[in-house]
Amino acid sequence: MDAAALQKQVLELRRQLAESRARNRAMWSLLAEISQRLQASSTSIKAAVSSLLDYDIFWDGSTQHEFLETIDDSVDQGSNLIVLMTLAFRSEASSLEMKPETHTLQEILSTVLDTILAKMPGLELKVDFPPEGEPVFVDYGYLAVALRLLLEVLIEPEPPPAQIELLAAEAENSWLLDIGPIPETIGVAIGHLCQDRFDELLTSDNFLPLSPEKLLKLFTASRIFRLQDIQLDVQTGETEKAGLRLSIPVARPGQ
Amino acid sequence: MNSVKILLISEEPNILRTLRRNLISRGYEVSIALDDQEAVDMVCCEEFDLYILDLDFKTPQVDGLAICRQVRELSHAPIIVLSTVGSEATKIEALDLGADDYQVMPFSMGEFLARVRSALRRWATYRTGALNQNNVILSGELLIDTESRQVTIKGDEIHLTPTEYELLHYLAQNSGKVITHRELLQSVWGPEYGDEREYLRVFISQLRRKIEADPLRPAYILTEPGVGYRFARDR
Repeated sequence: MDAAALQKQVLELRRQLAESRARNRAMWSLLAEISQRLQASSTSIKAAVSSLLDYDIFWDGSTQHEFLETIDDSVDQGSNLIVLMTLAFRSEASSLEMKPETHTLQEILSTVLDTILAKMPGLELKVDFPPEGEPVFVDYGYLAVALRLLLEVLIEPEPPPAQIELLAAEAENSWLLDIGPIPETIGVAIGHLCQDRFDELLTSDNFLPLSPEKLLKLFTASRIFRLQDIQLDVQTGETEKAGLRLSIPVARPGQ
Repeated sequence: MNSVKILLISEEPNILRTLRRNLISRGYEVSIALDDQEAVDMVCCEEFDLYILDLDFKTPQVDGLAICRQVRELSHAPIIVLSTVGSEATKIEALDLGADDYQVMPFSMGEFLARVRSALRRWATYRTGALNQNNVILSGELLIDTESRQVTIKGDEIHLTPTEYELLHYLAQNSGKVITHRELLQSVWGPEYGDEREYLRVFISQLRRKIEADPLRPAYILTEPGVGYRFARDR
């Protein structure tokens, strides 16, 4: 190898190292932000428990119930964050193992939509997918989690969107799942995630409207999609609002 | 009927619910602001005796420290700041922006309520005027009228927050005597305090900026390194 080629290789290695450091910093700062959210949950729990343990005041049955509800809700919040962090960091450490099998996409979508509607009963979902078609080759559990995380981010803005549309259509070798509309910020964030520019998400002012929790959800969902060879793209039209397109591979013969 | 009015500022429903229930059960009148705009609107149109501000807003556009500054600009009443961040730098920043106390989360309700009572005691003293046999403390060009709670330098009135006033008053009352950090914290903030030296650093520096001709070479409030502070006698 001549000196020029060697020099080029060194520069490339340096670039990769810098990228990797930036990425690490981003992950750690995100972890710190999420830990702070966990502290908020533990604050609610501690405040409610210590209220119940206080003997200077008599709490009637309904107030006691209110404190218990607070504890219940805060435990759920904390536990959801822990699950999210576990998934995100396992995917980052490449220890998230996918076990793909053949499944019908319709069944997975129904499961996910049930969960989302249970969380937000008033949400208007426009769903259109053919009742039959080729099966997909995916890890059912993880795909359901990734879709749920993605939809949660889409329905969480204040005020929530009037309607979310899910349209599934079979194409050659894959199912195309279109989800929309999506806010511009989320579209840009997902665009960065698709290009593996995760660290930029945390340093750019463009993403200020996205909370660390939402970023971590998007990050985790995009990682799970990638681990299952599912392509995620942001679709933008000149007149239409932006949307997402997932290309989910169909099962090949023998799978 | 206790008519003490408290404004809770937070967007975390579970924290709000628990704090509100506890405060109401102890006879306080509690209002809630969910973001910066609501907080400012409420502070503008109503007089509160205490503000409890949760700094950790999830919504990235809402800055808890900016709310602290805005509330302080609009009101003299004490501000207790709540945050999961326990670093000294953040505490100092919050105190610098006008907070009177900083409670790191999580906390027990007993501890929280003790801080509420301390803050309200200071506020009540400030509003009613401290009872002092000698109504005027004079040192050099600094005059403290303990009845009207007015502080003047060369005849010009200096605006102090209730906590700054209490601190100056306590030191001036004991002029010439070294007051330890612990004694000062317990006398001004309340008996539950004692280790919060960063509070003193911030408030003493604010006071010096207001009353000293050269805050870097103070003439009134002198530092006794490692021990506390002393108000210069007979300037």
